[in-house]
Amino acid sequence: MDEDLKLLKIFEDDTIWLHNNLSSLRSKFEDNFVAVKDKGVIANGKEIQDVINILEKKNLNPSFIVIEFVHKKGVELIL
Amino acid sequence: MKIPLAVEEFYGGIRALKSCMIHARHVGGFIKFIIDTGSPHTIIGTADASRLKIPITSLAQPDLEKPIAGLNNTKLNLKIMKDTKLSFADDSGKMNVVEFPVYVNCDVIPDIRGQKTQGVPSVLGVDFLLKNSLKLIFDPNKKIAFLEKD
Repeated sequence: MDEDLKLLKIFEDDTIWLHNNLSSLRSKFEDNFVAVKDKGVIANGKEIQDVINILEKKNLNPSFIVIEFVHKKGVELIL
Repeated sequence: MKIPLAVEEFYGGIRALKSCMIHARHVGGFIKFIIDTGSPHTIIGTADASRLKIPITSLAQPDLEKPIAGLNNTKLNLKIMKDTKLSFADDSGKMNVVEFPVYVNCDVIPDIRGQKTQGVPSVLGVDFLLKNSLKLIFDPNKKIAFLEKD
């Protein structure tokens, strides 16, 4: 359980890193899905399946990795 | 018990977010939810459903007597993932596990007018608060949010 907690914290930290760095990531990855691990982008693609395929080729399990869409500046999502 | 939430700028708004472990039949991983008091149900979004490789063809259909529609009467393509376990950390660092059925959005991630989109995000709905007798404290001014059990 301690190991789960540690890995969950890393996932959470990667999520926060992505949100805090969205502006700088936008110049390179706008309208792409990006995968983030250890506070860095490790894969990107126009479709989420492209990113999943890249991670699997690297023997990484996408279920445990942050994947997020880098939207255009000014986009507001209304739920 | 308090469950700390992250408060982040996300898709153009300040939102309360919670990362959890998720386990269900043939499913295991991490997921980030937006806390959404406007949703009566917890729903796994389109991108997360792909990332977690949720076997949507084997999930149960929702109760057709209680159809669920989105805003503006949008049709939602939802299925139910029963016996889903969500694990999350509280403020003492202890992991808590909750088991309840969650909905899965089975739509594909759409292009809108030729533009790629993020798909529908995953939301932690009011059912999660009811199931755990939790209240939500959310102060977007101070960027503080947590769930609390009396």
